[in-house]
Amino acid sequence: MRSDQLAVAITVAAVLIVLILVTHVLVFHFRRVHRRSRALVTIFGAGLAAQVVLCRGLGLDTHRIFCGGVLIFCAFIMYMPFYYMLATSFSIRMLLEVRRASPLSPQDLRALYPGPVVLGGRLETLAASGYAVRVGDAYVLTGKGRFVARVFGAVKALWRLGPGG
Amino acid sequence: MKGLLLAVAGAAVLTLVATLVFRLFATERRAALLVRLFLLSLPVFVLVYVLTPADLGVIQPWAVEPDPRLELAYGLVVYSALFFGGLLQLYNLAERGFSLRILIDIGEAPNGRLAERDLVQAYGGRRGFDAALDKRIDGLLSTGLIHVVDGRFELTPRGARGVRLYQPLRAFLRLGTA
Repeated sequence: MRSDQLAVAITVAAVLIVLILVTHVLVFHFRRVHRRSRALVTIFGAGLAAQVVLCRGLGLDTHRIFCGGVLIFCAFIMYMPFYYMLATSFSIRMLLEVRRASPLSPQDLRALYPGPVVLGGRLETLAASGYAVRVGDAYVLTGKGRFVARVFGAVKALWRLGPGG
Repeated sequence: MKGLLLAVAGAAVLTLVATLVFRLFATERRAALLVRLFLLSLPVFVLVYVLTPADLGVIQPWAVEPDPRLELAYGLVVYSALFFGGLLQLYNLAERGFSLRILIDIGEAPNGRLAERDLVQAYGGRRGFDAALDKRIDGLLSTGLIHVVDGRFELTPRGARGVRLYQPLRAFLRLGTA
């Protein structure tokens, strides 16, 4: 059994992580992707599968293959928040608006984000993702939404974070 | 295996320490506090790795790594990922998560139903949507990304650098302005 198994697994994972990121960037640039979250998860999933296949082909044992897979998982949990920050962060969007329309009065900046429009859009997204459902003119949480709300409500209580948002 | 186990155990201990600190000390800059705790924990992680046996008393011989330095580096990478991608993100979501706050507001509404027209005032535990916008604006001001000149917002040089980084990325990924 080769003694450099961990080094090989790490190298394969590192190369695949680069390929995953390049694939993501190229796919999102050259194709109109509607379900971006699902596409990202699929790309990372394909990378993980490739890790397993390649490392198995290189004769690595299960433990080292798992170690390599953990690295791809680590890349996933680090990259996804960065991507979502880039895609949805209000702070970043505000920064871009200040640059575009500089100087910008506080009133004009707030007017770019009317509450009913912003919140309505988010409610639609939550409904499309299965966390809430529209009943008449109101929204109620699905089981999935209630679970998430309760978990994070408990985290906020445990850490004494206050309302947040 | 040792590096991975210590990374997971270290992340669990760091989470417990962070919880204790949050409950015992009131602070506004919790994210910075978390990062400081993480940085302080790094030499502890290395020390624990160096001072403990290669098999930790429980690891099977086939899983003991022949290159301890590589495994230490691996463990540090995993530990860092569990912090930056795990604990810190959990905090960010719980503290600032916009959609998450909406879910909690709906759950806390009478009968678990919240009309869309009522959400603007009900948002953020009844602090209102405008308070959330003000929080973001205050954050941009306090982190030095924008400043006020004659009553209007302008980018600082730091903010301009941020825009030069974010804007091309958003454009290339077709993230738009929505």
